[in-house]
Amino acid sequence: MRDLDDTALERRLREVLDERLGALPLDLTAETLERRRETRRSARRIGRGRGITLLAAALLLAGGALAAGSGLLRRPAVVPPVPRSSVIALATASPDGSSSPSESASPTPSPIPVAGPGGVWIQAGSMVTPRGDFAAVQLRDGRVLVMGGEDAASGETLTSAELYDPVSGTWSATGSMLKPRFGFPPTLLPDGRVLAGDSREAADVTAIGSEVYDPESGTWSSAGKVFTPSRSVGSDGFSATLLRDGRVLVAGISGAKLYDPVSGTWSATGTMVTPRANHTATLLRDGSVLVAGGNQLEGSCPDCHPMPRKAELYHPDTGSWTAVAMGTAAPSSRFGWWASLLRDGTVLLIGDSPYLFDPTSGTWKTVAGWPEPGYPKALLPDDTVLLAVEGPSCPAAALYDPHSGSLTSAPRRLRCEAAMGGPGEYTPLLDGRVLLAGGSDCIDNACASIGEAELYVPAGVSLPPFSFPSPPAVEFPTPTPAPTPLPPADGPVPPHARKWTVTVDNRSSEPATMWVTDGDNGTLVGSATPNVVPAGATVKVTFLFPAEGGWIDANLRPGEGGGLLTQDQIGIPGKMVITPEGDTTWVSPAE
Amino acid sequence: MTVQALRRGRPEVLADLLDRFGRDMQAVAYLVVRDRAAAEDIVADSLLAALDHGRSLRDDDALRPWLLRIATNKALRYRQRAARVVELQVVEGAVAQHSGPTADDSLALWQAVRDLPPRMRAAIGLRYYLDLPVETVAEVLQVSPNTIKTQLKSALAHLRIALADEPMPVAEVRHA
Repeated sequence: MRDLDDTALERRLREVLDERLGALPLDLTAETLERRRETRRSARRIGRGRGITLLAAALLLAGGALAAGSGLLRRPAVVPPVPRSSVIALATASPDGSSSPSESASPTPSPIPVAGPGGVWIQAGSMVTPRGDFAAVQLRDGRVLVMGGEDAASGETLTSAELYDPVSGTWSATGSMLKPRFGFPPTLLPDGRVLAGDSREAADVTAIGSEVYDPESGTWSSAGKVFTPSRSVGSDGFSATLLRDGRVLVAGISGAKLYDPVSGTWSATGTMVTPRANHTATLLRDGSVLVAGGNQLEGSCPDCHPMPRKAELYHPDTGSWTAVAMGTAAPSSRFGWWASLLRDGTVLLIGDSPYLFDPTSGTWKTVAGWPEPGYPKALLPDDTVLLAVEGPSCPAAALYDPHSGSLTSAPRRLRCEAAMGGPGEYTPLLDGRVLLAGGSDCIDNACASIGEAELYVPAGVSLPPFSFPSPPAVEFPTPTPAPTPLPPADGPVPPHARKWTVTVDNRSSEPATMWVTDGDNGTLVGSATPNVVPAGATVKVTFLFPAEGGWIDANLRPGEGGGLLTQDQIGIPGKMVITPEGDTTWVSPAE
Repeated sequence: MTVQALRRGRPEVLADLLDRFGRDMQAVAYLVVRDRAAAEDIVADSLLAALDHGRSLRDDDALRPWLLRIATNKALRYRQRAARVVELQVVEGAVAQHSGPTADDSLALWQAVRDLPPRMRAAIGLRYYLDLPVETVAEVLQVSPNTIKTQLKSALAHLRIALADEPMPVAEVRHA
């Protein structure tokens, strides 16, 4: 078999894998799964409040720069906490509003620190009740109302609400909702109150209700029934849009209604051309509302809910809906639509890729440069979009300019959620900052909601004059195993070692560590000299392999990635390259 | 329907997920952990985790790679935690007497695959058992396609070298 060429070896490998893996019996049944699900839910309820995990240590470490309990609170011109692996460029605001970045606090008297190019993430305290999948809206006084959501440990929907004060940087509890309103977009009413409502499964509720939050009293009161679902389809995914006259348009599969905050009543307002859910709704300059994307949650094929091929406009003056052709911008994805009105009156619609809608001509234009996978999170004052970009580890942040299609990187968020954790909720603030709060982290099967929050401060926006103590420990419902100790970077020199000197080209922005491991358990069995290749450097590294064999691992972050080469491959031509993305590859001379 | 139900966290979707993707997830998990019972546990845990986090799923096409990613990550983490205990086990199907060249080759190749590092085993399973394109394998393992190509090339080279080291052992040191 050693004489086989690659194609023949691959074919033989497929046969062997088919033979061995195809014959594996799978005894797992749906009933077993259901039992395990119930057991786990029970265990989470029982175990809540116990155990502090290593994540807490990581969070404390990340927050270490905050000088817990220091006298920095409310002191002006304080340098914000510095995220690890990031450089905060501060700039001093000049009279004309422009800024000049520098690498340190300005020496001029009483400067107002502003975020440098790319902006900065700073810590923003911790929520009173950790949660994920919640709704949030900024009030007229600048505070942010956070409501409902889910407790990741129990899976229960929450009724509690709380307020974040971006001036003082504090979180405080406020009155709880009457019912767990799960996702109906909250809307700030002209009188300063907030309208929120249900968006539940039709099977779970007989009526979709609403309630209003009064920031003066901090209490919620019923705002009446909105819909009575008549079909056994999901009623998830309503949109809610504040119209110019102060009324609120709520639209979804079950219909379209207007809420009048003066009379406190709901009334029907026409029928969407294509009733849909999970769509976007954007108030245009002329007062009409553009509805686009989403899915219909019905049709002859239950497995493939049709996607509306057209957008539509709602006209508040007549209460009518008209279809809008989308041409090449027609959706190809049922979920994840996002839209926002830009300063020039056009609408940026992002589905699988971005499009610009010009309301004056009724035309759509494709915009280039969208990263895949990228998730739009907030529109910034300069029309750029803050987005999260999935990466090999933590999601990266980036800024997208829809006019030019250009993409620039932004500093990484402070918190890096586990692979299975929820990412938290982004809430754009009126001053251009973006609040990111909550989410969840999971270690093995144990999930816990996250309470910590952070603020993205765009370039040129003033940094807040406060700092925060270290965030509290995150509690997981069950004890988790201790982390696997990492081997030292520079390992032992094994007896009868075989030596191999390799060129390592580190094209990433982080130093790379070289390891010789057993390739399976991560146990160090050999050595690398030097064992660290600086960012952007090309260095010859000498590896010593033990007689029994070993693998070269080269990682930016220990524990990631697998073996790259074995000692059996000593002498093969080429060099090791750490890509800008942090992947390790072997490049032969021909490549 | 499956994705929609998953996004809403409806538990009845579990049976459908198990039926459609359970065996694929099991195969990759087994290649990584080399233990059938553990692989089944990982499939169960992965499906329950998927139910918890289905809201983050964006579209239908992402479902299979997403589930495979969860299962692979869990298997790799299991492998890392379980790496402390070392025991000697007779390799399933290994016999002292070679029954013929084809059987020997097959066993030797299987043994060589099992001796690859866990991430490489996962890549091998995803590429050559599930026939996923390199780009999808990269998506599942959260590395670049170039890294996958390099790992697969390296794995094939290692398999070829390992196959030259016959005769087969009848037992292996196994990390349970």
